[in-house]
Amino acid sequence: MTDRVLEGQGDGSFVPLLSSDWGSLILICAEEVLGMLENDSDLNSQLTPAAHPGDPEEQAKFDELVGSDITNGRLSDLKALADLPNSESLSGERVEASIRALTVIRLIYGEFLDYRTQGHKKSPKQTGEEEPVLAPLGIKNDAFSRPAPFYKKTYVALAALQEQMLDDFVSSGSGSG
Amino acid sequence: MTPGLGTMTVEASMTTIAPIEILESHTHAHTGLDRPWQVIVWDDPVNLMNYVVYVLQKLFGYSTEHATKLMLDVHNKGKAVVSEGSKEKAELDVTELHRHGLWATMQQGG
Repeated sequence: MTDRVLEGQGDGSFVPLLSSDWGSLILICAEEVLGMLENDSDLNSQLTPAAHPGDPEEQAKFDELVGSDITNGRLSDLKALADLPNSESLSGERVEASIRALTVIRLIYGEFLDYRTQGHKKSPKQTGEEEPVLAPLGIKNDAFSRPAPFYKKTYVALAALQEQMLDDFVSSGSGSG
Repeated sequence: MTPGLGTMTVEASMTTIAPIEILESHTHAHTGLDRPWQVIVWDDPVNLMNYVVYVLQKLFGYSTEHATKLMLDVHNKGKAVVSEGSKEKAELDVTELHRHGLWATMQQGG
């Protein structure tokens, strides 16, 4: 993707420049993943590694302290992304939320495509330390309503979209918070 | 990092022949309470390189150069320590990193 997808207005706001095709795709993906996360309380805690690997007691405290914040934040981000195609103007915060939501979608689609676990097997690292193990998300394939090639293409397309959104956002001078 | 534990010798005055040995408290020596917690970001096959740089800059205020160096460490070595501090700070940092979809863990430094 080489075309800009956001145009900064100089006042911290942005105008989305997405085509209707992109808008439709974003809506499909955001709503699908939103439905998955809303209906599966375990899914959120499995998207990223345990903060305290090997210490279930500390991890339980961590989850109790911030687990719902992380979950609610992801749901809010996905709703912001779902609203993006119909928005005429976006705040910087909504752009950042949409960028985060694209990561959430790719984390889940990556699981469906086996990218999450195979990535490490293909490129073993030199640290000699054991990398954190992510449990499979346990999403049944029938939770995905479309054929696998759709998710493979979409996974790549959303990476390109996220990269372009980020470039447009950062180049506006809004990138480092 | 917190100064080392154990013993420290000082001379009480210029005329003192034998140094006075001052034993520091060993309260933390066995518990490791003074050791900072480290926040580690691990390589993952999902997140984009420019996204990782953006997140590190946003959350920690790092320069582009420093954030890029950390991102490359993650990419090439498999992991990087991105912040250090108290347990509470580390938990906040990990929470934010998880909110952004990065694979972060925390451990007490050695």
